[in-house]
Amino acid sequence: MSRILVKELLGEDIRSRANANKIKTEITNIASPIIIDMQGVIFVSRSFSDELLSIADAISAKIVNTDGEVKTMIDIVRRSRSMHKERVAITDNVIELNDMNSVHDYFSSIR
Amino acid sequence: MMKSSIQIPSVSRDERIGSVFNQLFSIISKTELSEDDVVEWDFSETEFLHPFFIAPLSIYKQSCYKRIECCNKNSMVENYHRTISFDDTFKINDELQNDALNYFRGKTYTPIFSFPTNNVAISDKLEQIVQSIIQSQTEYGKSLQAPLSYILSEIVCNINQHSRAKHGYIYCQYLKKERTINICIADDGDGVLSSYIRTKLHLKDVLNDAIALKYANNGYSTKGLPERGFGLRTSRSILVNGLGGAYFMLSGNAFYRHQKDGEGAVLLPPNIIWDGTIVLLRIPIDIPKDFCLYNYLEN
Repeated sequence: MSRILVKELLGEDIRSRANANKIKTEITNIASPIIIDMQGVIFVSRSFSDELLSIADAISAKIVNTDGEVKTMIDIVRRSRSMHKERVAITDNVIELNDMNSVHDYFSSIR
Repeated sequence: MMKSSIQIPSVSRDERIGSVFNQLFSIISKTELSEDDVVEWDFSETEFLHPFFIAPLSIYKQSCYKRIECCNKNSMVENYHRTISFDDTFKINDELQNDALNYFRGKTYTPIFSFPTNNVAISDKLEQIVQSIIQSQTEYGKSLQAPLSYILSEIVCNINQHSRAKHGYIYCQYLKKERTINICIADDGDGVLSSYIRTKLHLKDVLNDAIALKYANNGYSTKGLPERGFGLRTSRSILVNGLGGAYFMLSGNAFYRHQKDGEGAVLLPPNIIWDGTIVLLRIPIDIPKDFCLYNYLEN
């Protein structure tokens, strides 16, 4: 079984989605079952979590040792991925401003 | 060589988020309409410039095809502009160390950072440093740490993922009286509408910049995958509904505002176009006692 130590690879505070590409590179050509070990990681962005789950699902890897906020974030993103996404219907109109006077009037009038 | 002169006003307030653009659009419009090769920005009447004004002004200056010369700054303004790298922005590279910006920990502002968008290690490191500086400046409570990390990372990630920008920008200032962290995040990319045009998604409905901003801010991702499109929507929700802050996004010919009293998109007059995208975030440091980040992350 191969274990990817994410903190060693990416640090404890992981933000950009593209960070997951490094995990993808690590697991290339690994045939055995893979464990993605999140020990010591203290923050993951939603975007990174989503990409991580895509990678894990694609190769049936297990994500382990998630803790605290990292566990909560990954659980939420995993749940969101499996649910039907409720998009806000775009129904209300756009305000159109035709000249600089109307721009000025708009900013003067908003609360 | 012909020069024209444009007065830069003192813009000290932005009570209705984005209202500084009232004056900024006027400056941009006069700069663009000038027939001269060189435009002078006259700072003789300038005392204080709100962070939501000064950062976009600097970013516009970087990318304007005309040569812009700044003049008549008093010593305080001159000194401040030099400190925050107003003329050229503070360029980040992979040699940046955490302690390189310790000077700013005792201030209430950061430099206007510029970072390359083709290196996520640099933008991630910059986010961490910016957040660390903000923490030193404001001593915000532990409960603001995670939401601030979330919002910063999602908005910067959008620059790297969608904008096709060469550069991203971050500027922060803490306004003590208001007890708000004011953050400007921007890029010099194609703009939100271009992202929909490029990916050919939702084009039946996305007919202009304002509709593009509505779609982008309400979860209609240009990646076309059902699990995408959460970043902006949840960040706005955390910021406005959760923390009581305010949000503004300008891209192309339109902007999108969201404050506690409402949200919506506005299409600007045809002669006002911003190349790229700017996001303004007003974040109160005193957050509601019952705030829980995770209440704002699901569908």
